[in-house]
Amino acid sequence: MEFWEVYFKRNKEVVWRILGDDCILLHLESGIYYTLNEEGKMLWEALDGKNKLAEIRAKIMEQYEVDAGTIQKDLIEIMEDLIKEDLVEHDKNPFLEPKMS
Amino acid sequence: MKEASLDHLSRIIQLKRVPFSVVFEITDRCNLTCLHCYQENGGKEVLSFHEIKLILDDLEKLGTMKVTLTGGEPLLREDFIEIFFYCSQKGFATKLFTNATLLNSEHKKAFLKKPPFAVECSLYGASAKTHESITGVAGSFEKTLANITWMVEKRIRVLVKSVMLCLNVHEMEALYRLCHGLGVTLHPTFRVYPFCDPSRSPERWRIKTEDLKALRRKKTALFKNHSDFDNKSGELVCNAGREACCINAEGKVYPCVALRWECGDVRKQSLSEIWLQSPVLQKIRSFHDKDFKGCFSCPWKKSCNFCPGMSFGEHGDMLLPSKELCRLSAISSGGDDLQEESMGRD
Repeated sequence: MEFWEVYFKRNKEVVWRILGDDCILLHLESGIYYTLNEEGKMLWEALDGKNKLAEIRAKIMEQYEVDAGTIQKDLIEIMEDLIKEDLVEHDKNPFLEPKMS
Repeated sequence: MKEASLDHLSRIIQLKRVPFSVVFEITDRCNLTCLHCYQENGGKEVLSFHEIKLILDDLEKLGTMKVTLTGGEPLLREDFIEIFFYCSQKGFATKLFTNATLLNSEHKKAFLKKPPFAVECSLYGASAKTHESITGVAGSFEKTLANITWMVEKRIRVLVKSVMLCLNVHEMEALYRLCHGLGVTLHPTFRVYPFCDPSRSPERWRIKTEDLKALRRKKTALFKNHSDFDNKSGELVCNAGREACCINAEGKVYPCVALRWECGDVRKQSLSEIWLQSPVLQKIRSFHDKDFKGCFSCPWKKSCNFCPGMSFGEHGDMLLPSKELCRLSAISSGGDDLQEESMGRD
């Protein structure tokens, strides 16, 4: 599946706080703290498993006047870090979930 | 994204004025009667679950990330599990400070469902005889040990905390070995705080000067980077009241669990109001290293992890040097021998 088509969500083992422009994450298993910049903060808040990464990218692009290529490059970098540090997990496509009757 | 150093975090937290780490004493009762304890056992009109929830809501809004549930013994509260789960629901990294004797099947189920960020357990010796000579309760050693073992098996992060007193210092090395065997880290301290119930005078159980000197001369691993004696930066100002605070069982707020300088009462004011407006907290935040006049130019400053709470307990003034910390740091750095030698020359 293409990267931008994936539904990512925040790892439940991560606690986080938004402090103004900063976002602080704490991985409960490793005990390591991380900080995210404003762009990373927007991405992190949007990672709820309900939207494809492409949809999140589009929303972030709407809010910045920077060119699309730069934002895309930044988001890839942040996502790679989040994946590498086990701060996010893949989620199933919520629209393919069997519906409860 | 970047991994945050504690210095960097501290800068953000202080800039935004966040009570990042909060110790919450959810009860004042304890099932043990430890000789050195600074708390009075029972007697307070403790906060209800409803009041606790309101405080936790406030802490979430203020940006608190870590909450340590302690007491007394926090597991004595019948609604402990509800409080613990509410902390998780609010997105706190929830720690527990307990004697671990009361962990029952319901607590275990809760911890398996939502493991605490860490559990700090008190253990005062490597044998039942020594541990229980301090806790005053027969059988407490075995229960604590069994529950630490269970938590380690379930991969819950456990730290053992111990206060080294004249009654247990002879077992310190054995306690290190015991903890190593259990797969947990031991954090010993020599600090016995004097306050809360002066009639019990817990100071009398402090390690004797000659015993601490003997430990130093043996060059035990304990003295390498021990948090009581390690202050490489030489800083005197700490995070009490700047990025941390403590709430006691009846809702009184302090800058730290050790610094019992009352800043407010959550039954009279919201925690946000206290944190942002308390004159005591504003005063504490205005202090700089140079205000600690007796300590600022002290030659042993870098081997003393100064605690204003100890000074406040001794003198009612956090800026004065603490006699006990002066004693401990002088011994740990060898300064006491230098003092004696120089006195001999005079």
